[in-house]
Amino acid sequence: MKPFELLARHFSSKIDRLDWKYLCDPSNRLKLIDNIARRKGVGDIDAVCTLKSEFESSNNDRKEEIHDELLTLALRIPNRSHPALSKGDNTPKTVKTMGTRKNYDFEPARFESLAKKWKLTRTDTSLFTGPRSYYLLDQLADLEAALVNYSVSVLKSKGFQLISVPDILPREIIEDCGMDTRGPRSQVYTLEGKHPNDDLCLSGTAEMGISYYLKDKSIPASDLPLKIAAVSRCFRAETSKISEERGIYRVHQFTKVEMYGVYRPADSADGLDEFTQIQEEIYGNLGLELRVLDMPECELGAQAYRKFDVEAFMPGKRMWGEVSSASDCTDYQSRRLNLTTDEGLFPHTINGTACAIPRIIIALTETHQTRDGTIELPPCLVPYLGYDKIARSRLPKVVSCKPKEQDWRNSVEERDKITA
Amino acid sequence: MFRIISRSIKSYTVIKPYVNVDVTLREIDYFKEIVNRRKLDVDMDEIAFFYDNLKRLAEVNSRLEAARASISGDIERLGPDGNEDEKRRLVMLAKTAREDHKHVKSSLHDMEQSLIRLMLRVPNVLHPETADHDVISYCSEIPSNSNGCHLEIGKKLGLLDYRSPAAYFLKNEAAEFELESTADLVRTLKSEGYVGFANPDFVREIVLDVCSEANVRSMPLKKFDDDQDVHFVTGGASLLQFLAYFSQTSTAGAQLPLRCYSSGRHYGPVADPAFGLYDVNQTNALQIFTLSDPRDERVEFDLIISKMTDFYKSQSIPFRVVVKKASDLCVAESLRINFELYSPHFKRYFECGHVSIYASKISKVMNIRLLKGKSEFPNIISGTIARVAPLLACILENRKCL
Repeated sequence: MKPFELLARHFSSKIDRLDWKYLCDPSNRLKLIDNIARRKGVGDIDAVCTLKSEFESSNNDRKEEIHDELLTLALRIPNRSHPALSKGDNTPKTVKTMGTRKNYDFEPARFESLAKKWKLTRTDTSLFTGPRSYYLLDQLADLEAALVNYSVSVLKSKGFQLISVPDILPREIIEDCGMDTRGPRSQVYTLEGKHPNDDLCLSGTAEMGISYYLKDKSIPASDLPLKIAAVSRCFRAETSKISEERGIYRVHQFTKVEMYGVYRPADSADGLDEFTQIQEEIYGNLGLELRVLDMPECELGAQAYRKFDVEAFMPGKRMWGEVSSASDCTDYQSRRLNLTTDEGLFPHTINGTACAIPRIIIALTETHQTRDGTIELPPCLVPYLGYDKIARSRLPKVVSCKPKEQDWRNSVEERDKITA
Repeated sequence: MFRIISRSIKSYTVIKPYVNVDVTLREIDYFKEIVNRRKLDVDMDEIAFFYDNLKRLAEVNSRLEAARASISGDIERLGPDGNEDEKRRLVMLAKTAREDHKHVKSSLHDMEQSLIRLMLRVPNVLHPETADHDVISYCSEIPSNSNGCHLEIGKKLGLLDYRSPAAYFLKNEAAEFELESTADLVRTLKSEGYVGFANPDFVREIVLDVCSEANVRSMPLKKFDDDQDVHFVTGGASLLQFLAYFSQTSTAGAQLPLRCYSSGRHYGPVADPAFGLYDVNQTNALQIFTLSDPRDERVEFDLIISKMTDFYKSQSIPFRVVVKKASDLCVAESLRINFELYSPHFKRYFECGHVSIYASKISKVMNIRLLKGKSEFPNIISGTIARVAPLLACILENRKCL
C-alpha cells in the first residue's frame, strides 16, 4: 500500500473503516443473515446495505443526515464466526480436560460456608455498599494480592508488557469493544457528568482500557505480536437470581488480570491457542480441575470470532464454573478503534482472562479444603503469600447492634474532651 | 438521639446518627469559637433557637399524648351506660386531640430530621495540636533545580502515556511500580498488626449523606431505572468503605486497637487538571482505619505517622509532614497530618497522603460502638496514607528514573 493510502486509512472516519466490501457483497447476504440469527439476532444486514447504497448515491447534505443512522446500524452487525462453529448445535463443546477430581473423605463445603466459618468475607452490607457487594478479609485479601502478583509474574515470563489502564473510560471506547452501554439496565455503569461532554463509564474489563490505549495507534508490523497484561477493577451491572451464583460468584465489582494481544491477521488463531495455554498453565499450577470449552456462536457476543472458555470444577458447589475466557476478535475491534499496522492492515486482537479473582478464590478454596475446613494452598502461591494455609481471620468478632430509638444520654467523655 | 436520615425515600437503608444536642449546646461558646477558627458557615445560635422550638413542640406533643390518654380513660370510666351527651363530647374531644397530635408529631419528626442535618454540620472538637496555621513537623531538603515535568520525563522513558486526569497509562516499570510500591507499605503495616481488607468500590447515597463531612472523595453514578438511590464510586481505598463495614456494629473494648488497611483503587474528582499525576481521578492507594480506645488514640496516631514518615524518607524524594491548620480541616476531622511531596517543576508541594483523627465524631454518626468499656464509642483514626500517582510523579521529577 502506498504511503498516502496508509495515511488516509489512519485518519479515516469510523464508517469508512468498516468492511463494506464484505458486508455489502450480495453473495455474502445469506451467510450474514445466518450468522446474525445464530448470534442472538442483533443486526439487520438488509437495512444496512440499503442505507449504504442510499448514502453512496446521496449529495453531501443527505449524506450528513443519514451518516449516524447508517453507522449505528452497521456497528450492530456482529463479527464473522469461525467456520467450525456453524456445524455445531449451538452448545459449548469440550475440547480439553485437565487435572483430576480430588477424592474427599468428607463432604466438601461450599465457599460461602468456609468463608463464614473462618470469617473471611462479609456480604451483608448491601444496604450501605450496594447490591452484591462484598469484603474479602485478612487472608482472603492477602490471597487476592497474591493471585494478582502470581498471574502477572507468569505473564511477564511469557513476554507480556504490563500496563496500568484507567477504569473510567469514554462511552465510545466501551461501545467500540462491542458492549451495549445504553438501555434501562445495561451492563455498564455511567458516571454522572457535570457537562454533556463528560460521557464517561466504568470499565467492565481491562480489555476496554487497553483498547483505549491502542486507539488510533499505528503499530510497526515488526513489533507484532504485541502482548499486553493489565490489572484492573471490573464493574458489571449484570444481575442474577440463580442461587448457585450468590455470594461472590457473580458480583458487580472485582479485580482481574487481563491478557490482550495484537496479532498479524494470519497469526491470531495461534495467538488464541497461546492465550488458552497460558490460562491452563496458570490454573493448572493452582491444582484446579479444568475443562476448555469451544463456545458456540450464541455465546460470542458481538465482537468475538471464536471464544474458548475455561471452567474449573468447584467441589463444594458440585458444579463447573467459568473462570476465564479468551476471544479472537479478528479485526472487529481494530477497525472500530482505528488500530492499524504500519503496513496498513487492521491487525487482529485477542483478549483473555488471566485471573478473575472471586471465581478463582471460590475454585481454590473449595478444591483445597481439608476435613477441618482449613485450606491448603498450592505451592506456587506460597512465595506471594508467605504462608500456605488459610484458616480463621484475625479480625475480632463484630456484633451487629441495632440502635435504640431514644437515647439522650450525655456522654461524660465527650464533655470532658470539650472542656479539655 | 436516634433518628432516621435519608434522602432516599424508597431505600430501606437506615443510619441512625447519635447526636447529643444538649452536650453540644452546653458548650456553645466553645463551638462558636471553633466554627470561627475553621472559618465555617455554621450558625450555632440558630441551632440553639431551632432546638428550643423543637423542645417546645416536644412538650406540646407530650401534653397532647397525655390529653389523649386522659380522654380515653374518661371514656372508659363512663362505660356503656354513661351519659350519652358526655360520651359524644368526649369522643369529639378525642378526635380533635388525635388530629392535633398527628400534625404535631409529624412536624416534630420533620424538625428532628432538620436538627440532625444542622448538627451534622457542627464541627468536631479541635485537637490541641491543631493550630490556626500549618505546622511543619518534618521537612527534607528541596532541590533548587528542576529536571522538568514528570509528564515529559515519563513519556521520554517510555513509562507514561498521559492524556487527561481521567485517562493515563502507566507502562512497564511504572506499571510494576504501581503494584510494588503499595506492596512494600502493606508489608510494613502487616508487621504492625494491621489486618487486610479488599473493599467494595461503591457506597450508597445514604452513607455519603451522613459522612460527607469526613475527608472522603467520591463520584456519583447515574441511576438505572430500577435503582432506588444513587450509588457513588469511591474505590476500595476509602474511609467510607470501612465506615460501611463497621456501621451499626459493636466491637469488644479488649480487641482495641483494631488496625485495618485496604490497598485498592481511589476514585474522586479533580480540583485542577493542570498538575498531571499530582491530581487525577483514579489511582491505586492505601487506606488505613483504626478503631482505638480514646486513651490510646495518641499512641496509635504516632505509630502510623512514624511508619509513614519512614516510608516517605525511604523514597529519597523531597517531602514534608504538615499538621494542617483548623481552617483546612474537614468538619469531622479533629486533627490531620498531611504527607506532601515537593514538585521541583511546579515549585510547590502536593498532598500524597494524610492521616486524620476523627475522635468519636464519625463513630457516633455511623453508630460504631463498643461492647463494653469506659467509652461507648471508639475513636477513629483513618487516612489515605499513600496515593501512587503523585508518588510516581514526584519520583520521576526528582530522580528522573524509577
